[in-house]
Amino acid sequence: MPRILAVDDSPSMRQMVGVTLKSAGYEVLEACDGQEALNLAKGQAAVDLVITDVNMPNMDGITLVRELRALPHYRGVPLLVLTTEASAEKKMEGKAAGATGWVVKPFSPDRLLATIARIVA
Amino acid sequence: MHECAQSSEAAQAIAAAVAQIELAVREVQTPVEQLGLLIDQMASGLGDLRTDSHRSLIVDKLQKQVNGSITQLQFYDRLVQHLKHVQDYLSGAAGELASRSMAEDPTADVWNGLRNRLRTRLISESQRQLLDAMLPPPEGADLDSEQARSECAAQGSVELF
Repeated sequence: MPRILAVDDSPSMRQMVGVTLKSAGYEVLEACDGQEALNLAKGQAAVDLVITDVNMPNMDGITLVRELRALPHYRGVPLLVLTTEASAEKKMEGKAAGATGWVVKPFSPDRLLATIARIVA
Repeated sequence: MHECAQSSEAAQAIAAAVAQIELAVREVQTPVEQLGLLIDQMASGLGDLRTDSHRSLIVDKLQKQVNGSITQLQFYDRLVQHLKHVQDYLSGAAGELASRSMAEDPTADVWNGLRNRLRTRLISESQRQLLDAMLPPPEGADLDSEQARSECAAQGSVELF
């Protein structure tokens, strides 16, 4: 089953994303901010998808997307942004950094899983 | 006269923060009620599981209710974020007031800076509208255009690039 890295500084959000993904059989890795996620990625953690929040301490989600895209083994990995940020400007910033998609919180588990299934298929 | 102006700025800042807190509490009311309802339905569904023979239908229903709970519970995360931004705003205002001597009160630029930082951090249009109503931006400030507002993605929306 595909492995997904979920990045969010909120423990409750990580828990809700984790419950949703595990209920569909995905293996879930967690990181509490962009820096921890990047360290995991640089440590050669192989994942099939990254889901990241935007506003986080240490390293925000947009920077994380940009940094991951610079790693050769993450160039083709889908990077989904899951955030409360709804402005077109922020979304365009994410797209320019290399994000695959943009999901605005609160997410619907059914819709998130359908999107993931489409991306990692 | 100068002191009066500063007191007025500080009072407006506090009133704006109070209004944001009231909105935060109001915005979370419906999701909490929905969550309570879903928990009630799930408890009832678990009872049915023990007695009813249509187990797969009940399990499907329970799964939908769990999913609904996950969605509603995320409003707690939004509430925490909103209150954190208001807290930062008030801490910033208190810090400015405390660090300046009477002869050097916070200027209008300082108040506007604090206000603008809060505005960029707010996460919904209703939060920003309330702030604009309580603390109108200085003359000529660049408020979000109608187009920018209409381009804001809806809660729960998904866009693949």
